[in-house]
Amino acid sequence: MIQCTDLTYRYPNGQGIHNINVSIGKRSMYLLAGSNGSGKSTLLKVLAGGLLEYSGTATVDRLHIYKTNRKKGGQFTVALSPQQPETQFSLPTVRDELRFTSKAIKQPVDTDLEEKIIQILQLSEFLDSSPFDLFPVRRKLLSLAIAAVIPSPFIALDEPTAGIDQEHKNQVLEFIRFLHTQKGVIVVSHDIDTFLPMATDIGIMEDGVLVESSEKNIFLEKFMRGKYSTSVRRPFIVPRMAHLLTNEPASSIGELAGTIIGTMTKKQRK
Amino acid sequence: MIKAVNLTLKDESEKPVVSNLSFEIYKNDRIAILGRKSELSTLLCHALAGILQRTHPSYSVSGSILYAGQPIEEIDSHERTNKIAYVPPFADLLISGVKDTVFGEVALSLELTGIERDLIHERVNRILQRFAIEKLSNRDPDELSGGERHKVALAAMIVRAPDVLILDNPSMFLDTTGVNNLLSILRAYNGTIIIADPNPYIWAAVAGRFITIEKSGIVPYDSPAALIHALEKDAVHIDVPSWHELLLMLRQPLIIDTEVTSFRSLGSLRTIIRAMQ
Repeated sequence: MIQCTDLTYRYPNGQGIHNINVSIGKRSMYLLAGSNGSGKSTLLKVLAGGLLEYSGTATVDRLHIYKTNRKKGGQFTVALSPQQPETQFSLPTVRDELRFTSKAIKQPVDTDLEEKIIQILQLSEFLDSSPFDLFPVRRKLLSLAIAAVIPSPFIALDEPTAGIDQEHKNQVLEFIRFLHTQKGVIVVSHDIDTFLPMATDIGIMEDGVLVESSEKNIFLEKFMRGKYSTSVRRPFIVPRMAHLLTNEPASSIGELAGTIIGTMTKKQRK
Repeated sequence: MIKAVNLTLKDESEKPVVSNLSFEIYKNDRIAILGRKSELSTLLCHALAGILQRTHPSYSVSGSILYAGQPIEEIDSHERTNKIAYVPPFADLLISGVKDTVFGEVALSLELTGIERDLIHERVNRILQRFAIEKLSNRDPDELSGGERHKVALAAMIVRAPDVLILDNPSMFLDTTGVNNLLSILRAYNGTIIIADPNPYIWAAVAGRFITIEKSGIVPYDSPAALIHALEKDAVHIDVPSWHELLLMLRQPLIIDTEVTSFRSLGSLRTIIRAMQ
């Protein structure tokens, strides 16, 4: 379980995250949304042990993040897949990249897990290519795979569908569903309607503050009443949400409209 | 303005990825490239920007792409990049890193084109305002978040006002206001725009013509009406996130204009639903 109490981190220029209080359960799929520059990625970096000069407390399975990350050969507790995949590549082949972290923390490679991840993301034919020769969409898939092969209790994915086209989107969703059976998953995304169906909890950040953090149903109630509409992208969230709330598949525009009206009037009557 | 004549692209294994494609892009056209494979739309964007042979040297190209009647690869590269701007998916890679303010970074791209100083100042301020990032003006680009850097990179390309703007997946890291600002900028833009984006919202709000990447090949549609017609006849074989959304967007671009920011209220939702029926 991830537990943060009054977690604050400031960059030298004063920007950062302020007084974050959140707990993320072992089997959560936590969706973190919010405007550009609101501190979502910073929070992930703190949790992943990348920014250790924070104040307040942040623990993963009761271990303080700064302690686990200062120890030599320490375990990874939260594996992070960053927003821009290019920033993390440095080795000649895709396979080297996949095994780098295990080598660095002197842990044996979990070959079963590695194989499974490669199979889901369909990277097998690129294992001997250079990461920089891949198309942007596959570079992103590789970046996801690198974080997933680390044996950590939590994984944090920063914009996992950014740059992913329709053809590969289902692979990414299958990948996240698979991870969710193994560990706690934190996803930062603007593409909220893709992740709402599988999310268990939602967090919304504004100006470095976590203004909302609740279970999906509670969040949906608030959202339907018009809260947070500026922090969340894509206008079609409303029809999709009507669909989610009623669990009825909408196969035509008329039906979709009926579903929305039905949901909204039901809400009004209450 | 840009004309593709019998364009055929083959990959390393001689497999044709684009075969015998011909179409013409006119001045001030708004074209959306739709399809499930971003690889193909990226290749097409590179080809139209005249950089394909540099980015994918292992691909063989036959047929030609003409810019103002001249084969695109024969145009001097400095002149070509001034006229045709390609913005890649991970646009923040374009940020030079030599300037320590956002203002300086955006101004740099104009300085390189040799425009007067006063004019640079004015144009940079205007584009920063339109992207609603004037507050970031004095910040170091390296200290911004991913989404903010993306906006800066887009601003730096658009401020140069190239004749042809090719945007590959521009909405990727943008939040709601970012997408809306980009849309209003693109709408008012004086020049040709080619946009490849998996988000149907962007296509419908900006585009007047469409190029679909289908299993059978690449098909150009000359108007939203033509695409709607084909969609209704079930004659378009591409996957988009949702057909209903795309159709709805294509039919009702005006409503999207005015209502999109206040979609949350029940009243506006009703308006849209009434329009849907």
